[in-house]
Amino acid sequence: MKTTISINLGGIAFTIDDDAYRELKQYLDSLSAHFRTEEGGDEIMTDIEARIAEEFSRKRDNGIQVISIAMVQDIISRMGLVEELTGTQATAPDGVTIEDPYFARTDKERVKGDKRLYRDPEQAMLAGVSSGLAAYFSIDPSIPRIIFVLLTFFGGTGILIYIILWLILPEADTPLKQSELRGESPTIKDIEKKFKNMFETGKKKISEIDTEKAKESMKHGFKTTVHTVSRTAGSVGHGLVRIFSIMLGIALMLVGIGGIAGVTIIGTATLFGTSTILLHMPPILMYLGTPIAAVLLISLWCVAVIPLSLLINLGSALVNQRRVRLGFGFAFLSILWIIAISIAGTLIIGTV
Amino acid sequence: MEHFDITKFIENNTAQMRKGTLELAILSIIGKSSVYAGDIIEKLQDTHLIVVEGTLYPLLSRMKRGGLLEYSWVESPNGPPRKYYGLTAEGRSVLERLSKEWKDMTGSITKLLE
Repeated sequence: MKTTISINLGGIAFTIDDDAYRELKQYLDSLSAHFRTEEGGDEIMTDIEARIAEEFSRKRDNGIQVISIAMVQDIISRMGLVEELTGTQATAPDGVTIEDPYFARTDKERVKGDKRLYRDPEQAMLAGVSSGLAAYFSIDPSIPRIIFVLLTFFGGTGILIYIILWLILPEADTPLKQSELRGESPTIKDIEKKFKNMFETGKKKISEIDTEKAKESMKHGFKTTVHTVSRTAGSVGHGLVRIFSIMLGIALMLVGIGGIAGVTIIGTATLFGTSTILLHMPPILMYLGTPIAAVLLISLWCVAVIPLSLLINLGSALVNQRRVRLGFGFAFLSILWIIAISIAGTLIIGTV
Repeated sequence: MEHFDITKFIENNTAQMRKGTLELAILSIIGKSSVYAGDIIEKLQDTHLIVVEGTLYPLLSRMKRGGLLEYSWVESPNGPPRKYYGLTAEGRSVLERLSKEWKDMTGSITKLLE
């Protein structure tokens, strides 16, 4: 007697032996780990899954009820293992490696040490921020931990930085990301080995697949429930963090938008003499009626609005689950802010 | 003196030749009639250009994104709906140019070999 599992592959439900399911899942995971770095990777995966589904349904039309491990192995040998698909480099007899222009690109980029900062759940004490930093800089995780604790004595800065990093940094939840975090150039074998381990620990979480969900993903077209189930099962904890980060993101955006609106209204009102709130500030009173008042107000406006707009940016990054990019715009705004605060400072000091 | 492996040398040369002509072969198969991945594989297997099926999908995806191919969904008698590929105008002109290159090259190489 064998346990069978029902899966949704390419929008079609199949009954599959437990061992065959494991083999298939491991294979698809290894493919998707490989193709995810490639543009159009999702499409390639759905195409491959649809093709496998077609072969399985053909077998079923021939009266085979349950997908066996032999059938899975047969289809894998026909589709090809990741190593066979990559075929990235052909070593010429003289020892020169010929780069395949089509397949090699993404691998090559990563080999050149594409290091990325992630949270590291494997060594985590709390959310994996310190262990992630430690892995990234190849230091002992205690070092960032001690620094965070020490910083906490400075008005809780440590806790604040920790929370921000927690929210901004994605978790290294796949072998590929783990390799990126450590800056290793991962070999396919390594990744497959890690996947195997992850699967062994994670398989208890995968219970049965309910038909509602299968129908749902059938509507969405080609998504293996094999994928979605394992993804959701492993990420209940991550889901809570996500909800929290979305709520925090919305709050930050509201504060930012509200702040900008408030500052703008008060500033304009003061400029046109309809508000007296800011008139308690002697510098503005001094310059009132002269063009300098406008310069001072605009500078003060910039000083307040630039950080608020960054807050909105951070908030929307949290809501949309993307990383905050501090690029040219950030540098420009920083310089603008420094100029604005210098002008405002000079004008205010000038009146004292 | 480095070890020179003759078998490997031949294998690599053949592999490079096959790899180089794979896309031309795919384009010409699709150029003849509207086909889905299963048909392409079947035709390619006779040419020995492809070892495992999985290599086909990234190529199709690339050429589709490059504007050479387009597809339409067709219901399948067994299994999920199939993507039937056809050439775009651009794909057709690429196929024409590539097949001209191929004919020129094989023509001159054959002459050399004679």
